[in-house]
Amino acid sequence: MALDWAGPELKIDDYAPIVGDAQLALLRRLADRLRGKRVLHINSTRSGGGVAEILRRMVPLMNDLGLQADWAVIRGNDEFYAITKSFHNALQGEDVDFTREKFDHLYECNRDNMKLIDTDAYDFVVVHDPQPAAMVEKKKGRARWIWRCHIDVSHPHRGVWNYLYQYVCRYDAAIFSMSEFAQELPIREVLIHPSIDPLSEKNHELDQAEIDAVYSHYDIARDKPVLLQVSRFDRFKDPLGVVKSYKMVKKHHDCTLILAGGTASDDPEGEAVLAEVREQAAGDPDIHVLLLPHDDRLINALQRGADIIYQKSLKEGFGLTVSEALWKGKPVIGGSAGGIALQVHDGHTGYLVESSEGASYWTRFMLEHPETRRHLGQVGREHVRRNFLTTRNLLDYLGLFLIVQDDARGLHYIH
Amino acid sequence: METPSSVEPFRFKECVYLVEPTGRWAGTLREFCRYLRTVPASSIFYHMHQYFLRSHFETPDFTNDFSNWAASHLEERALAEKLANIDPFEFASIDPHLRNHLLGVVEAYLNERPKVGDVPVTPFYFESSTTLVVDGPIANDLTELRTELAEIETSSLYYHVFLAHVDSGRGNGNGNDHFIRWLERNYDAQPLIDEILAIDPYMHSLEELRSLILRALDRHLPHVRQRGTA
Repeated sequence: MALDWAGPELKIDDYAPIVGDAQLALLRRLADRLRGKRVLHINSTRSGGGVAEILRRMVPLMNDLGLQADWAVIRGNDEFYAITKSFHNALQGEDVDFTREKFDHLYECNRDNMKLIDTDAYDFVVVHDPQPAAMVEKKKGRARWIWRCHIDVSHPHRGVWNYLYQYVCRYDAAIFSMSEFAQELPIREVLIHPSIDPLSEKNHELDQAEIDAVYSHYDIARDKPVLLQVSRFDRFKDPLGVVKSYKMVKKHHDCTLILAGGTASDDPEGEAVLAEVREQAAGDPDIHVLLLPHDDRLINALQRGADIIYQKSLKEGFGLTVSEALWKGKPVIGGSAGGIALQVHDGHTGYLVESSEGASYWTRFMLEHPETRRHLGQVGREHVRRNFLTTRNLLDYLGLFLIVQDDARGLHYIH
Repeated sequence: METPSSVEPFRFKECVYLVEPTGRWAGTLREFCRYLRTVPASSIFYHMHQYFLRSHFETPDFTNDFSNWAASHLEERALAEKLANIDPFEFASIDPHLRNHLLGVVEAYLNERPKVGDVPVTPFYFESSTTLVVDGPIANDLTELRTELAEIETSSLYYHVFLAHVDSGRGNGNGNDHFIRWLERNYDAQPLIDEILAIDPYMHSLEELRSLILRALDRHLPHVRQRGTA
């Protein structure tokens, strides 16, 4: 049934050199109170995307801590995935035409999955994102159901939100990534930031030789400072603004710009943005526009080889690429959008900007002050270590399980 | 130091706090003032203290969220300074004392500069928290307390220094209530107590607080005696 997935062999002890024994001791103390409890995570994809990335680490670690955690993925036909995509966009404010038939199809798919996924044996069922939200109809007994919303639903398409709302209200709790993304609900709500995993392919340490090889493969010289933005070629990520900023910096400093990312094959807008970026970059051998395959290790190497990393988004979700960069000790210049401001603290871990001019100014400043750059990178890494790693996310989940289990509010003591 | 046999054990606590949205956000100072009247007391406590659990920056701007918002988004430096200088330990409780004081500061500012009140800025989101307190290690004497304190998760310091104040009613006015009370009950250790009381917790990160308390312990430990021993 549920777990048709063999995850990586992860041990919580592997994280001790990174987060320290004290945090792991606290994790174990919480996990001891939940020993043997059965937890089921349900989402809509086994690979690709941040949710799968988090679950891939979270589920084995919960098991290592003595819980019995499983991960089930809902199944659907092409029509279902097409509908969920527009459903997803509508919840993030896009004006879409959502017919009764689409709602019905979405529900039918959830109903089919209710038959496929046995939820009865679990103490905690965590349903990730809107697609499987209607699964809550299976809730019964003492099981606690938690809806984990990874997207910004603060300004949703009303009709689509009303449909979702009827299901969300049946949960015991809802998790949002930050207040700005939440909706007011008649159930308990908590805020849990997403996390990156320091031991994953995307974030673990790499040999210098491997980093050099990647740069060499793409024929990128490293004899001058490297500026990098890793993101989809999407207007909201403002790659054109990054090129504009680089051109202003270039008048003062010889440097290299890498724009690395991909576009979805079904995204004509992304293709158009990529074409515009290439046009702007034409004739400058120091601008590298890389359309990359999905390869976490490659991204890791590019980030580790860069001097300053941008996430100059105009609109953003939580923006975990910022934490990835900070974790590698790189200062980040970020747009004041979504969760970026929680990660980029002005003058501490990088700089928040509102314009290409701002990005240019702080890039110039950091290129003139390599010591400041290094210091910001060190502080940024520590900021991520404390707030945006898997172990902190795990701590929050275990805390939430205990709180919803006891229906606790305020200060709650467990002995 | 003599090792006493009848010292009451010190039970360290650690905590995990789950942040909760309140559904209230203020896009102007006037709205901020309105919600400050009505948000739960736990929200005020959270915004006055969460900085200590999350941040560790060497030169913080201010250590409470209200003053940081006033400085960064309202760009009202004077208001930010007035809010930052408030010491929550001076108030017997959040309701009505600390809340009224905060309101007094904001209202006075609005009276002096009424135009500021309606300027739209990046919103302040009022949040709150449910805090799970878990039993941690036990120290059977002062030497063990020092050993555990050096290793314990920083949330434990947050609990014993800041949460202790709301947990046990009015404290000593300086935080560190649990450590101080335990010392008072079990040891003749006034110089050590005085040194710990002299620390201003709102001016330090949790790691710095740990270091300062450890330094005080190291200095005084050889001279501390259990109550009732010669």
